[in-house]
Amino acid sequence: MTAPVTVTGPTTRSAVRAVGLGKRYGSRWALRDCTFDLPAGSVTALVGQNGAGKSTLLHLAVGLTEPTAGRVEILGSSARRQPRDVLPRLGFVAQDHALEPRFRVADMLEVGRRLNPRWDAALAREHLARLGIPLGQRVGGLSGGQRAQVALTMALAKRPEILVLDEPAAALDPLARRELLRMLMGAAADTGLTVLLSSHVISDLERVCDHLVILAAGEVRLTGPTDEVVAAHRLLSGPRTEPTAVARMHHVVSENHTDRQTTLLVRSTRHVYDSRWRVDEIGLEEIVLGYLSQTAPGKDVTE
Amino acid sequence: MIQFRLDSRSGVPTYMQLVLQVRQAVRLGVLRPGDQLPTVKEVVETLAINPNTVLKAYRQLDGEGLVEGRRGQGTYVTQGIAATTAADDGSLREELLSWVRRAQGAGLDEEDIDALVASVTREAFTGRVA
Amino acid sequence: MTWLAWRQQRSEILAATAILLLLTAILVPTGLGMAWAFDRDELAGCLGQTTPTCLGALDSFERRFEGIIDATGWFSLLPLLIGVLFAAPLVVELDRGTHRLAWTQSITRRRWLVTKLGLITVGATAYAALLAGLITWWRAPVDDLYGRLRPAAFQLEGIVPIAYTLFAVGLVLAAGTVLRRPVPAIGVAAVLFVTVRVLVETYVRPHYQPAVHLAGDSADAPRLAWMIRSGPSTTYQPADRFWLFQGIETVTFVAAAACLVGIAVWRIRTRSR
Repeated sequence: MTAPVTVTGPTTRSAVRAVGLGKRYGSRWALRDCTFDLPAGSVTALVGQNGAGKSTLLHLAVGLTEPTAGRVEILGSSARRQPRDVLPRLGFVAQDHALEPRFRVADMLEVGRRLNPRWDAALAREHLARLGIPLGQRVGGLSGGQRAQVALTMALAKRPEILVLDEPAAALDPLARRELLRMLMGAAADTGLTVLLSSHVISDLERVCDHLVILAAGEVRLTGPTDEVVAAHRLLSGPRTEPTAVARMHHVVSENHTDRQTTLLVRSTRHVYDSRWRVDEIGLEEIVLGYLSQTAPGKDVTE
Repeated sequence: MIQFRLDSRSGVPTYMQLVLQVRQAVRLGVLRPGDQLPTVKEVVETLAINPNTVLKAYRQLDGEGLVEGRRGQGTYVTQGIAATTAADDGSLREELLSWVRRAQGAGLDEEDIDALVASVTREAFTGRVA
Repeated sequence: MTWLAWRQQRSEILAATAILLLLTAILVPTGLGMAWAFDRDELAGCLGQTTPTCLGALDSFERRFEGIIDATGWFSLLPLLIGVLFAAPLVVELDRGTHRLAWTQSITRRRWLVTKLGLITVGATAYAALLAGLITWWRAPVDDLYGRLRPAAFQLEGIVPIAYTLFAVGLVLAAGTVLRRPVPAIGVAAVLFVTVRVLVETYVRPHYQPAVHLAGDSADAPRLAWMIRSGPSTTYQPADRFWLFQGIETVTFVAAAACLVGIAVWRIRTRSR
């Protein structure tokens, strides 16, 4: 078996597209003016702190909630307005896994079989057998990691084209987290599945994701392919100054000052002529942290 | 068969780590022409990484002519990497050795020398002002 | 989807079945005993009679069955119990968020809702009908003696228990979707259920039809009538209005139940989380 390049199809096909998407609860905007486009076959991380609006965004995408403004489409249709076009092709794993605690694992599989036309019972059983999760066990008696695996198995057995996961690894220990990502990435490699997952844990993201949406205070701060994001950012360190001169040439994302030194995270690939500045490459994790700690919000799209 | 490892703290992009490991393995003769690389799914499931990253690494190696993807079969090593000629190697080594001696004479210790070499090497390859 | 709805409600349906079986186990033997005593003492011939033999027989029948007849007064809460058993699982599901499981499978929310509400209303109606039939049969001798338009009998017999049950279902669903938390919702639903029932019985039901007025005291009213006011002048509803009143009360409560379910449906469809 070789690289399934063609399975993923042309990367220009859109899997998730949000345009001016917003959601208001009472007078508070949980999400505002969100616009992004994720290609089919991509694995996208939606990162942000707790309360940044990640769950709201995912719930809007899969049609669990109605947007207050704008629209969001999955595979070209709205999950809310055209559920028959979207739901059979969509797998969703809720943050709390939304499983019936009183059901046995086998009952959950039966639910999947009865409610989904493309249900793959063999795949579901094989997954659970490989993970050693007994079908006779009650869901309420499973560990957090096992529940996450059951929820993911349910979503994968739908044979979806796109999988949306809300904080899939949040409550898991490192081993269970790795196991879950292994299973997820394996499925993505198999079928060219598009994956959109939210996370407030940003370690490991670089190895898992190829696209990024950074969300802070209900707004999209940055979106783009991870390698382009990494290529477009630099860390400048130099003598303590107000970074006005640099800011004229380079977009400053965040700044840090000590008595003697100023450190700037800039989005720019231009040459820095001022030799007092030391220029360093910066990893994805630090870039994300830079955006999350940003004081002045500004929206940036890496093309 | 090659077994990939990842160092998440190295700062080297994941796909590049894969590329470097294949190159290294070919250079050292661990992989020979005709050998098969692990399938994307195997790599993905061992390392829990994005399949597109593996694809990107294999595409890059393919572009370098080091490996070849055969549709439906897998990815195979096509050629070895010619090591730099012994003569070049020898003379470069001698020059470096004499330079290191001079540095020692000037009072630099091993760490100082390492830092200096790393810094100059990076400058030469990235062309950026340090 | 029907399978999922059934599977999610299974425990509660089994509980309702257990209650039904328990009541059957109590009511069938006592009902047979009561009917047997009624026949043995030839009480049917004594209805409306005031001979000493008849009064004595009536007195002994009354003393023998008074306790259990009074106890069945509590059965007026059975519709609430059944309503809670059938409606609460949906409220719990919405509270726990497990409805998101069904909502993100390949079925529409409309189908999910129709199946859920269908199972709840059909199930609640069936169990209420069985209970009402059982109690109506059981009370037949008592009704012959005292009439069935009196609130103590009226609320347990005929078809109104079904309407009360659906009303309870509506209250639990509406309160559950508005308050979003099951326990307070059930509490509120129970309080409203009892309050509305008492208010209707006290202030509304006596006026379903113009009452009959008498100058004399209640002794002059026809047998088995529902005495609304007695004293120097008497007001009553004649016994033959039983089914008319049952019909009016049923329509009223079913209509209220429909409005409440409508509120619940609207709340579920516009859920924002």
